Amino acid sequence: MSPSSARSRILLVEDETINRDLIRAALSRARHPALADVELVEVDSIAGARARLAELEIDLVLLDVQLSDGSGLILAREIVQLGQPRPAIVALSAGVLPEQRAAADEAGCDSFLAKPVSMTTLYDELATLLSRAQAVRAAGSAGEAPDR
Amino acid sequence: MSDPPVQSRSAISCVHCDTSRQGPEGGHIVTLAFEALFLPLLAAVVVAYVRAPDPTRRDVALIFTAMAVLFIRDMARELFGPLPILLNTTASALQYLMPYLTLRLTAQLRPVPTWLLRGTLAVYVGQVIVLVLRGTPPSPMSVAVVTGAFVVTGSLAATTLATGARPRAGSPRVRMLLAAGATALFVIAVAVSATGVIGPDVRAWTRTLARGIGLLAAFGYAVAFFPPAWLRRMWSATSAYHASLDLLQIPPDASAQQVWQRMADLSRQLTGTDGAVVLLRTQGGTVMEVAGSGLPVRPERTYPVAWLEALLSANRPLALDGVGARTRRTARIPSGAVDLASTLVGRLPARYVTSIPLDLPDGDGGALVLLSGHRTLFTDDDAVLLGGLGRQAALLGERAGVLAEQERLAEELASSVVALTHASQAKSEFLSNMSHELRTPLNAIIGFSELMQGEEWLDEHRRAVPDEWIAHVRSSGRHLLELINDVLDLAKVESGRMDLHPEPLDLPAIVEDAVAALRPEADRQRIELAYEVPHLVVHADRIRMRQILDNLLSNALKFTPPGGRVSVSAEGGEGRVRVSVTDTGIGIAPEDQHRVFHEFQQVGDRSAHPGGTGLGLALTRRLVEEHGGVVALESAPGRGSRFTVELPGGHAAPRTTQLNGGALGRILLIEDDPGATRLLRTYLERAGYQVIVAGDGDRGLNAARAESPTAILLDILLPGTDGWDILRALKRDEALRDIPVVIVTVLDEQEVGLALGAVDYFVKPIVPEALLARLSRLALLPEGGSTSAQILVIDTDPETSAVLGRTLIPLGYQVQHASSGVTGLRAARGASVGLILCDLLLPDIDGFTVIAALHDDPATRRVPVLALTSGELSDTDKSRLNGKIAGVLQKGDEVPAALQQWLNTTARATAAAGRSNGGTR
Repeated sequence: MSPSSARSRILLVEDETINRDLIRAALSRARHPALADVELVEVDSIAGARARLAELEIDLVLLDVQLSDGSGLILAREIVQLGQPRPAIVALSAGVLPEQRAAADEAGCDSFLAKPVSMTTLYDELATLLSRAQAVRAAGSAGEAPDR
Repeated sequence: MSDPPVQSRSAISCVHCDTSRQGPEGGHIVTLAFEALFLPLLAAVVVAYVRAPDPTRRDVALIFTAMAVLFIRDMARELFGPLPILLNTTASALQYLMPYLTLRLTAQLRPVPTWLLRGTLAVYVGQVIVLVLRGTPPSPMSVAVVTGAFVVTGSLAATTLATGARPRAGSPRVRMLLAAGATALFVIAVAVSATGVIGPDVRAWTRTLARGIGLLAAFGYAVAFFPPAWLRRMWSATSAYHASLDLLQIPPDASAQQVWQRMADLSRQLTGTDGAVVLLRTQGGTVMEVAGSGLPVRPERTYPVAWLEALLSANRPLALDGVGARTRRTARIPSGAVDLASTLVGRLPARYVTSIPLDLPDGDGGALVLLSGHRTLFTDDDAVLLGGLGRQAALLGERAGVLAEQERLAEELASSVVALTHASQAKSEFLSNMSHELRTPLNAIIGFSELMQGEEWLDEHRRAVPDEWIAHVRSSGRHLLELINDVLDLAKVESGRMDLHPEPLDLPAIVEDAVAALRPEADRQRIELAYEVPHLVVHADRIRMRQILDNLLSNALKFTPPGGRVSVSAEGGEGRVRVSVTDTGIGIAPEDQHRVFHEFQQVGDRSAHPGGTGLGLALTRRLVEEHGGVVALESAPGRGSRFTVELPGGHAAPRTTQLNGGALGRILLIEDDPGATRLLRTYLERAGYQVIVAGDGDRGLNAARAESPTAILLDILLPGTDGWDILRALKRDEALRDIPVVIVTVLDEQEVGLALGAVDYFVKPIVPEALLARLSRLALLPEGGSTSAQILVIDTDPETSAVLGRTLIPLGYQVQHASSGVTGLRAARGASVGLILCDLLLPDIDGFTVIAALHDDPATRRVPVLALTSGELSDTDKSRLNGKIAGVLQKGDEVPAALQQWLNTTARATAAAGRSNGGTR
C-alpha cells in the first residue's frame, strides 16, 4: 500500500444533485483533522456505487437511502456481507421514522444521520468513523501485505 | 239395529220381535236404556243442524232421524204392543234408506263413484216398492240381501273415510277416523242384528248387543260431526302446538316466501283440503299469491284488494258450481269473491273455497284460502288457529329479512373498518412521505446556511459566500413553497373547500399562455414545445385550468430528454373538451401507470429528473375531477406518454363576440407578442369591443389615423420604434391626441407613461376585469364624433330623469329612460348602453336587485353603473353594492355637477386619475 493510502476515501451515494453539492461543499470546509485529507467519490445510483466499490478502496460510504434505482440499504447489506475489513456505512436519509431507522440499523449501517443534517453532526460522525477505519486499516496493513 | 215389524219374517225383525217378548228381563231393560239414551243424541244433532245448517250436518241428522224412528217404533211396541201396519212400513222404508244415506254422507267428504250412489238409491227404491206392494214384511231372503248390501256399502263407506283420514292431521283426522269407526260400528251392529236369524236363543242378546253397538255408532257420528266445544278446543290446542312447532322448524335463513309456503302446506295438511293458497296485500295496494300448496301459484298475478275483502266477507265455505260460473247459489256472493275464488279453484279443480283472514303483525292483511273438491270436517276453531299462525309465519318470514339486514350491516361495518384502516394507513403514509419531502429541501437550506455562516468575513457585516450555495438555498426554498402550495391545494380538494369559479375559457388562449410560460425551460432543455388547439371553449376555473396545464406541461418537460418534443392538442366532443399533452419522453411502464396520479408516487428514474413535488399529477387529477372531468394516460416505456384531461366544454360559439362586437367601441391594440395579442383580443372581444391589431409602432400609428379607434392599448417593448416614442407621436398628432391611450406592458414605469399622456397603465400580467372596467369608462366618451354613447337612466322620478337628460345630452350623450327595474333591465340588455344610472328606490324591484342582476348578466356586467340615492348608504347597503357599481351619486341640486365631474375624472383623467387598475370602482 502506497503512503498515499493514509488519505481517507469517502463514497457518496446520493441521487439529488443539490445534496451532492452540499456534502462536497461541507467536506471542502471541514476543519476537523480527520477530515483534512479526504477524497470524495460521488455516484448517483447503487449501480454506480457497486462499480466504485469494486475498483477503489473506500473507507466510508455515505449513503442516501431512497435512491432512484432502489433502496440504499440493499447496498449496505452487500457491503456488510463482504466481511471485514469493510468500509463504514453512514445512512443519510430524510426517512426518519423509527422503523426506517431500525431498517438502516438492521441492514448493518454503522450510523444514521437524519436529513436535514447539521454540519457539526456530519463532521463528528464522519471523523469518528474515519479514524476508526484508519486504525483498522493500519492494523491490517501491519499484519499482512497490501494486496493492491 | 234394523227393526222390522213384529210380524216380519226377516232375520232382523224376528230377532227383535221374538226377544222382545221372550228375552230375559235384564237384556230387555238394557235395550230400552240404549234406545232412551239415543234420544238426547238425536236432539243434540238436530239442534246443531238447525243452528248451522249445511249439507253434511243435514245428512248426519237424517241418519240419526232414521235410526230414531226405528228406536221410537221399538219403544212404542214395547210399551203399547203391535203397531199399525202403515207405521211399520214407514219405519222399514226409512231403515232401507240407511245404506244410501251413509254413502251419501261419505260422498260429501270423500270421492264416491256416482254409479254406486245411484245404484244404491235404485236398490232402495226397488225395496220400498216391493215393501209397499206386498204390504207384508219382506222375506228372510230379501232381508239377507238388504243386510248384505248394507254391509257392503257400509264397509265401503267406512274404508273410504278411513283412507281419507290418513293424509290429514289434527282434528279433521280424528273426526274422519271417528266417522269411519262409527260407520264400521254401524255395519257391525246390522251384522250382529242379522245373526239373530240363527235361532231364538241368540236373538235376545244379539238385539241388545246390536242396540249397544248402534248407540256407540251414533255417538261416534255425533262426536265426529258435532263435536262438543271442549273437545274442539282441545283438538285446536293440540293442532296449534304441533303447527307452531312445525313452523318453528323452518331454518332461520328461510325467506318469507319459504315460510309462507310451509304455512300453505301445513294448512292444507291440517284441514285436509286439496289446496291452500296464501294471499297477501302488497305495498302497491293489490293482492298477490305468495304461496300455494297442492296447486300452481301465480306470483305474477295481482288482484284488487276489494276482491280479497269480498272473499273474506263471504260466508264460508263458498261453493262454486262449475269453474267461474255464476249460479243461483253464488248470485248473492259479492262478485269479487267469486272472481277471485274462480281463478283459484280453476287450477285444481276444486269446488269449495274457504277463506280465513290472516292475522298479520303489521295489519297489512291477507288471507289463507283453502280449496277443496269436497266438504271438509273443519271447524271455526281451526280457522282461528290458522289465522293466528299467519302472525307467526309473518314474523318468521321477517326473520330472514332481519338476518339479511343484520348480515348486510355487519358487512358494511366490516368494509368501513377496512376503509378506515386503509384511510389511516394512507394518512400515515402521506405524513411519512410529507416528512421525507420536506426534509429533503430543508437539508439543503439548513446545510448550506450553516456552511455560509462558516465562511470568511469580508468586513464587519458581510461574508464571502459562493453564489452557487445561495442559488441552492433559493431553489430549495422555492421547491418547499411549491410543495406546501400543492399540499394545501390537495387539502382544499380533499376537504371540499376548493372553490371553483368555472367560466367559459378560450382554450387556445389559455394553452398559449401556459406554453409561453414554460417555453424558456423547454428552450433550456432543448425540447421542442408545440401546440395546436382548435377554437374550443372549456368550462373551468381560470386559475385551476392554468394549474392543470402547467402541471401536465412541466411533468412532460421533466421526463423528456433533450431533443425531444412536447405538444399540446385538443379536440371537442359532446359537451366535452379533451386536452392532451404528449411527450416523447421515457414513458411509464403499464404497471406504474395507475400510480402516477397518486400522491408521492414518482415512478421511473428519479435521479435523471429532479424537481417536482410528487404531488403535481395527483393534484391535477383532483382538480380535473373537481371540474367534473377525468384524466387518462397512455404510455409505453421508451416511446413517450400522453396525458389527456377531459373537461366540460365545447366548440366556441361562432363569433359570439360579433353579436355586440364594436358596440362599445373600437380598440387599437399595438402589441407584437402573439400570445399577449390573442389574450387581450379575447378579453376585449368578449366584452364587446371591436379589436384592431397592429404588430409594431408604425403600423399602429397608421391604424390610429385610418380607424380612429375609441382607445389604444399600447405595449412598450416593441420591435423598431418603442412604445414611448409611439405615445409621444400620438400625443403630438393633432388628430390623434384625444384618443385615450392605455399602456399594457411588463415594464413597471407608470410614472413615465402617465407623464407622457397615457390615461392608465397596466403591468402584465394584467387583471382583465380591471382593464375592462377602465376601458368601459373610456368608451363612454363620444370621441371621434362617429357614435355617441348611450346612457340609461333607471329612475321613477321624472324630475331626476329630466335633470340628468339636461346634463348629459349637451355633452353629446344619448339618454334613454326607464321608469322601473324591469324595463331598465330590459333596456340595458337590449341596446348598446355605455353607462347606467340606477336609482336604488324603484317601484317594482329595488335598485340593489337591479344592480345585482346587471352584474350577474354577462351581457351587462361590463357596463359601469352609478347608483343614485337620496340618502346616506348604510354599511349593509355598501356591502351589497360593493364591486358591482362604479360610484354613487347623491340626488339633489348637485347631481348634474357631480355626474359631470365623475365623467371627467374617470374618463378623461390623465395623471390626476392615477393608476386605477379598476380601483376606482
